[in-house]
Amino acid sequence: MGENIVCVVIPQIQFQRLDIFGNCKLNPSSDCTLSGLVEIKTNPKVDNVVGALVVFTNDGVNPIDVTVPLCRTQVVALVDDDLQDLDQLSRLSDDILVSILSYLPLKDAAVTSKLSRRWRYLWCQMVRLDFEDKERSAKLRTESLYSNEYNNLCFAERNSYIDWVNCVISKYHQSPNNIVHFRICFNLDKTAKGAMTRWIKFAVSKNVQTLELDLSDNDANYVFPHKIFDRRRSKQPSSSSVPTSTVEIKFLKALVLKQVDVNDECLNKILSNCPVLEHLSIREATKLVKPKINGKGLALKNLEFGGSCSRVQSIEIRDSNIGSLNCGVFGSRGSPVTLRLDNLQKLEKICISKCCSWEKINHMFCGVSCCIPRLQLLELQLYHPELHWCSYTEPLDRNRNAWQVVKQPHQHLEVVEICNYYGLENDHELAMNLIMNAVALKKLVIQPFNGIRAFESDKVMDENGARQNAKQQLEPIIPVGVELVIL
Amino acid sequence: MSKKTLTLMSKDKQLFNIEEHLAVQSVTIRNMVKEDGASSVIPLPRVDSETLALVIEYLNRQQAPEEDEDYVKKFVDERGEIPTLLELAQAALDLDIKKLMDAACMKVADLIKDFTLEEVREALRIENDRTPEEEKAIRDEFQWAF
Repeated sequence: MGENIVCVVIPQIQFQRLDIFGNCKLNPSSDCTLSGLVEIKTNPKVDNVVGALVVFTNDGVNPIDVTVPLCRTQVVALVDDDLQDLDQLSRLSDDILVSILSYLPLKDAAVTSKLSRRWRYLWCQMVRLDFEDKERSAKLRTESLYSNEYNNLCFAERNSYIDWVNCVISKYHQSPNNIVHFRICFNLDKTAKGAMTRWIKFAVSKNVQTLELDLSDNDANYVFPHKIFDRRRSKQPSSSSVPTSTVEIKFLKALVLKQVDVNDECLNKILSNCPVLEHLSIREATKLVKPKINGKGLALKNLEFGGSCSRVQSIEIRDSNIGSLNCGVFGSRGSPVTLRLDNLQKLEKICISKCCSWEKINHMFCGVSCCIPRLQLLELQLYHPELHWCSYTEPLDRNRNAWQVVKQPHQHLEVVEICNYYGLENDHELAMNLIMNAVALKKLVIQPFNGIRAFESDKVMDENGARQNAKQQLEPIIPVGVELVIL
Repeated sequence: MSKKTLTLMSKDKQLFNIEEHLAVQSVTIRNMVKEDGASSVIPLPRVDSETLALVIEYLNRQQAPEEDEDYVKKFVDERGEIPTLLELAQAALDLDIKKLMDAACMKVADLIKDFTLEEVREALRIENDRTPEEEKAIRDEFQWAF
């Protein structure tokens, strides 16, 4: 009986605090127009049927002299002429100001605490925390690597960066707000391990949805603290190293890791403990070897392995609902990356760059039409393995017919973009194969190789040569109805 | 069956008609319609008529979904005055039209990003009400920022 819904409509003013005395409870999901409200204090001890409403305005200290008696389910409209004179900004809700702040760099946003009393802690309500400090990062880049000066500067700047993040976080710890986006971006090394783990835990405790850890430029890889997923038995210290169950990161939708190391086991932990994770991007992870992703029960939609994940030998993805896959992985020298894809019903976009041997790509194509029925955009950025590492280790098999095995037509493939087209036999074969098999093809885009490289000892090819080759080879065979674009 | 029309009333009592299926892009209006059918005039006592006209123009847009982002950006770009944008953002917040509010706030941020503190105060009409003691306290608290 004590839960009366109070409906308050206050058309002209913003208020920061609402004190409700008496036996009533505010139901924020009802019709109330309560924008700008920061705090609701109820005082249930005053046991009156009729309560009182006190509105506090912007400075949060002085109540405006409005005390209105409340009855059960009474609709109260406060229109006080004196209150209408408040300037424009006072009418803007904090939500608007905070939203504006969130589009400024964090440091600029924090400077606004100088503006006025109202602004002092306003920036602490931002739901996006992007700890990028371009000035600081640029300062490090000016010193030559590994010099004494560089090491000293790194040490000092890292410490000061860590202090900065800690300081901001301490302001946030008391606030009830969630954080939607949390980004760390600095040249940090292993010495920041403890701090990083704390930051990640902090972000998780604030129900973070997008977590980005970018430790670019640093050479000593920091390892993702996958132990945060382990819940330890607190009462039995003897078995403390054995995780009894795992901790889920319930709200995480996107995880971007740059130069943060993950191994196969850690990747699995991330996937199995982030039930709503849709976007996963892993760049420059040197410990990743044979990532296997079984997509059953996962929310994963976008997956990227980027940069130089130098030890990757194979990538296996099966039974997943992913819609886009981006692989830019260097295999280690001489041992190309194998890509195994199976039963990916919703996969529409594949981008493969800088990886894989010719045969392995070929192998992948064998299964394309049966396991990836929805594929619509295929982007290939292939380095010719013959011209890179393979030629150092084994003689080239010029007689193979890489594409002979492919007989099945690609029913849904509409757009193909081939990057770095040289016009060698391989390129020609690939294009021919696609033209023959992609029955729904609408557009073939050729981006000619745009550097100059000497190969086959006497031949030098530049962009124009590559473009001419593409023209000569493809124009005569392109079917009617397929658009050939040579960039 | 003809399309149902809603009438919105601005702070200065001007009336605006809009088709219901377009108006319900505003979550606030959608909830009102859901609850009581919103047969009568919907009063928007915090939104002035100039701003409401802009909101209606936005709701009436006929963009393909993939062009919508660009349209919203251009829409706020063309209203590059900070006071107009602030009114628009506030109205979009009250009516719960998230895309419009985000775009307007982003544009304001873009406009003030290189301003000095004094210029920000002027643009947003903020009165500096802090005492020298408070100023010092803030400087000590946020040393890293200054």
